[in-house]
Amino acid sequence: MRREPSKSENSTESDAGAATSVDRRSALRYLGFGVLGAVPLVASAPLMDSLVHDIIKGSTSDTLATDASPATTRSGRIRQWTMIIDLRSCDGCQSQGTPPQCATACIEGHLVPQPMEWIEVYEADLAGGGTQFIPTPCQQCENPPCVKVCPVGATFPTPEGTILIDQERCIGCRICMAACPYDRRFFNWGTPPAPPEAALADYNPDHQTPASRGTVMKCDFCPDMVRDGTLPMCVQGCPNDAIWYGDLEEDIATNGRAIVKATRLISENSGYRLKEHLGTQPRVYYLPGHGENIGRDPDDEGRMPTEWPWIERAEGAVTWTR
Amino acid sequence: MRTTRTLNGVRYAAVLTVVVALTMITAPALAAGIEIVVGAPERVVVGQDVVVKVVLSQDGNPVEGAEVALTYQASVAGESGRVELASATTDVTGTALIVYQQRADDNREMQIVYLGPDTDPVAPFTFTIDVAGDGTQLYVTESGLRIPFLNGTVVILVISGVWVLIALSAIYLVRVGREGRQSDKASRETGSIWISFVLATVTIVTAAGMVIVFVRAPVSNTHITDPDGYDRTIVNYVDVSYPYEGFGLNNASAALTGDMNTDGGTLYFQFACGACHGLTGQGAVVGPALIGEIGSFGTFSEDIREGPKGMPAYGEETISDEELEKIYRFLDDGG
Amino acid sequence: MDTLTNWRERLITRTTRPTLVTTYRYWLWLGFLVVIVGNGVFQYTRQLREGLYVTDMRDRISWGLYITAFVFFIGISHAGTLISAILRASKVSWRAPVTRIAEFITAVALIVGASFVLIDMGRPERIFNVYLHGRWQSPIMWDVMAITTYLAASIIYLYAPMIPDLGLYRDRLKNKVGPVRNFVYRTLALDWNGSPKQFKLLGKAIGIMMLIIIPIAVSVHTVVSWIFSMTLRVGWNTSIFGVLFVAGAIFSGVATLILVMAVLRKIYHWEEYLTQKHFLYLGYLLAAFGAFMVYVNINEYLTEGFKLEEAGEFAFRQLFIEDFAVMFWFYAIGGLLGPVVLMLIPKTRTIAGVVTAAILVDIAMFLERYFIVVTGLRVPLMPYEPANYAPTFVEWSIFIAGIAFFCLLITIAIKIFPMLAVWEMTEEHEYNCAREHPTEPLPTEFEKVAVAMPEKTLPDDESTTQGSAS
Repeated sequence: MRREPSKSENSTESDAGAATSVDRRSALRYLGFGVLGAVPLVASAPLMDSLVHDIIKGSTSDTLATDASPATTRSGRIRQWTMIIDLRSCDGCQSQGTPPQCATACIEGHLVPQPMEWIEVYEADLAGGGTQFIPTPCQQCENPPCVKVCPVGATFPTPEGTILIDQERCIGCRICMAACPYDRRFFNWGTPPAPPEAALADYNPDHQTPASRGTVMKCDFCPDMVRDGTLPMCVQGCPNDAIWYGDLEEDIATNGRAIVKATRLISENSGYRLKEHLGTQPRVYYLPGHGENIGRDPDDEGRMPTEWPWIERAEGAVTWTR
Repeated sequence: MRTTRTLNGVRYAAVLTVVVALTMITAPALAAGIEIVVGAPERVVVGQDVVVKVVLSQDGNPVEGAEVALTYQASVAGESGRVELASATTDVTGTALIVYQQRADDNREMQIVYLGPDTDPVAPFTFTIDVAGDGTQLYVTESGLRIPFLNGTVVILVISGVWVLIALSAIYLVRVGREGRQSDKASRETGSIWISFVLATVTIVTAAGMVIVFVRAPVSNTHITDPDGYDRTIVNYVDVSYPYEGFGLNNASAALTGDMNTDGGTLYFQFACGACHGLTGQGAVVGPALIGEIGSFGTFSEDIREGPKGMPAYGEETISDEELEKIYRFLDDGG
Repeated sequence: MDTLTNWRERLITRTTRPTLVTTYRYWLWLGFLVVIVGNGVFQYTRQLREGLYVTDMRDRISWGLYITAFVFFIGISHAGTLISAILRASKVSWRAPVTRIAEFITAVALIVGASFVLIDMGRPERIFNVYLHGRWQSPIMWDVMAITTYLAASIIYLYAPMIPDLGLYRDRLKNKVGPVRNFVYRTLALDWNGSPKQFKLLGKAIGIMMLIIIPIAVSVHTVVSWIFSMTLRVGWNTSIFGVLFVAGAIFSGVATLILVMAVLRKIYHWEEYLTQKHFLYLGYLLAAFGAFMVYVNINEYLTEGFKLEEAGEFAFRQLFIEDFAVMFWFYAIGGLLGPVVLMLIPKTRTIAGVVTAAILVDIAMFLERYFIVVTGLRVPLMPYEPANYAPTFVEWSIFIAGIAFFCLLITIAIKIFPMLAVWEMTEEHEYNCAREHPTEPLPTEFEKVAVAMPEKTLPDDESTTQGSAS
């Protein structure tokens, strides 16, 4: 379409390309620049890493228990916490006539803001009719969707396999809540209702008190209690000892009364996990049942709604619906 | 990736036969006349598959079809008891082979327990298997894939490449301004300087941001591989427990107002007594009521220091005697 | 050619008029926008005081209008990429009057979209945690990186082609505007004098950006879609989101461009430059992308709906038949098929028809973002009753304030920057004129440029007409 450029008195240089176009050679040159420019960055990455490691990583270390370096033991293996919930012994505390005691114990023990239920007792329909109760704590997945999406690493796995949340780092973006397939994460939409004493507590991801507004919370397997050698609140609270808590490393579990080999308990009772097909690899196992060991009929539906017993001490609290 | 903890147990699983010296142990005659003879290795390693051979005989005749189980004394999370590891049934020669994987650090009071079918009580047979372990973790989370080169390096490459091109374009704009200034010496416009300044700032901020993010971000989201780098809580090791300290106080002076009752209430909350016993000691699901139930200070302090079942033991390093007195006063006065 | 100079002068007059003349209507409009934005800011302070409790988002439906607005505005920002970059790379001539507006929309929409993320955060004061403690493995971090890159690239891509026009403004408006704008023009014009060397450097700058901004823009909205499709929610757990979102972004971007064009054309009498041809071509683009969106939606909904996996039935029921049916079918029929139909029927193939199509598309795409976010979160994960969500006054205020802020930034930009790309349009116009008179040789690139910037390229005694072969 275009003919030879005609001479003009003021053509100072022949402009091969149009004023706004880039020919293939230049394009390749620019792309080459781009890659070349990236090489020193990549090559210096290890150098950068070691250079800044002490400056950035070291000085802003935020381990909350930095001086408690674990004592070396004879073997030094790390416990891998797990929970096994025997649904044959769970009736949602129908026979007790109270709200589910596991949920209530957890709420009291952590001053859980209303209406969060870190362990929540769902009532699911059984295939042949009737219902079963499924107490559902955080599943502490080994392939946790919530950890993977957090932009600031506020939710993190501990070496024991428990997933915790650092409310001092959480920015409240709530992508972890969208990612969790078990509905186990809760957000402090307003100022969390808390009794006056809660403000005195020294915050730590291990016990999540006091709750802070605009951050996410969830069940944490009570790491501060089990570290000492006490069972979590829900395990202690269950009147039928339906919840077992244990360690997959040594392969034992206890419900406060008996102590068994964990994998044996699971496999001999056809234990399963929730939503196995999602690949989250949860650490909470369920032994199928509907409360038959304590005499519940599957058609006996309904349980008492959960209560927050300390709530009357939280003056002027604002609460919300889930 | 750090692979400090590999599954050594897999290797040992290949060794099913007992390679260390078998010690034949004979048992004294038992109440129902059933004699238990156990052959087990003297020492095993954590992770190893162990075979314990049990031979039952009665009056010299092998006992067939009897169920025996191997148990040991274990403790976890404050609970101790006898754990049944595995069971087996004797065959026609009265022999049962019980196989289990050594998981515990310590086989305390290992026992062979007779389960049936004979209903007469048979005393269990106690023996020992020593355990050696080098602390190698057995249960290792394997979730997540490691595909070579598909990691942060690729992201850094792509982003750096794009930003280099953006910077290049901006540099051309700077050159436009410089060219303009050179051809017209009278002009003193500062546009290109501004652009250079903005470009430099943006580049530095972006590059710094990338460096900080990529250097500090944890490598993995699975558990065992990075125990020292990313956790923000104390790790609990087998056989070691840390004193339970409750909620803690963010300001120590809150418990030092001087009034015994108020301080007691603060301490009562600080050590999470209220978590189990109710914020005013009225009782909760886990802990019984304390108001009106606590006896003298002596029994009270004994209970706290020892830790009844289900309750952590608060030693003197955790709660001093004065603090204990304040808590007692708080509860005694009605919470 | 006489007419060329006159044409150019007329163009300059029309282009600079918004900058030079401010009527009372402008102040009225500006005041109106400021009031709306002010209300939004006030509602946001309420949210800062009381927390996100003032919205209707709750644990079960934890994202709502704010994230919808974020995705919507980032989507609109793809207007610039398509028109400026893709059409420029393909050397399409009719894009010249439209590019500047498109690039402005891009930059402004990115700023507004990114601020909605901050508004949605529970702890906005901790935003720097994203730098200090960021995890690059997180989809949100990819979002941060992509949007920052796109913002930087689009600001350069907005600025670079504007430099010759800023030079023009600097020279022409020296005595007609106040010191602030004079300073802006003088500084940003980068001592532009139209020399071939400067054109060459500028060409290189624009050329680089033109190439890389296309992959950047595609990556931005793909990464935004991954915030949803990297989760395990029914309705989100699908790989088509990347394509759906990018196509939808370009779709809504073109629609917004048509709307802004129509408004500016009406107010400033730019009918000569933003002709029916421009609207029709953009309308065809809209229809083409509408058809493509229909294809993508059929792929997504037919494959999911045929199987109806776990909770799939609930997801489809709420979307197609029950709670969100009106929204969805308005989007599918009005928003996706509407432009196609309007452009197919000769009677509606007018500017009015195209603008109608654009309005339908913008509303429909907003609704699409909304129901994607809310229906995805509404599907119950465990045995409980599905929650409901209805944005509160605070949320609506802030969202409307976002739209108003978008309009506000463009309104202010009109007062300062040239909204029509004078030099590019002159270049193209001259080239088109020359094509109609083939007896004369076509202008060289330099000569095209010389025509565009006669003040600076030729010595005074030369005529400013095209140099013929001499």
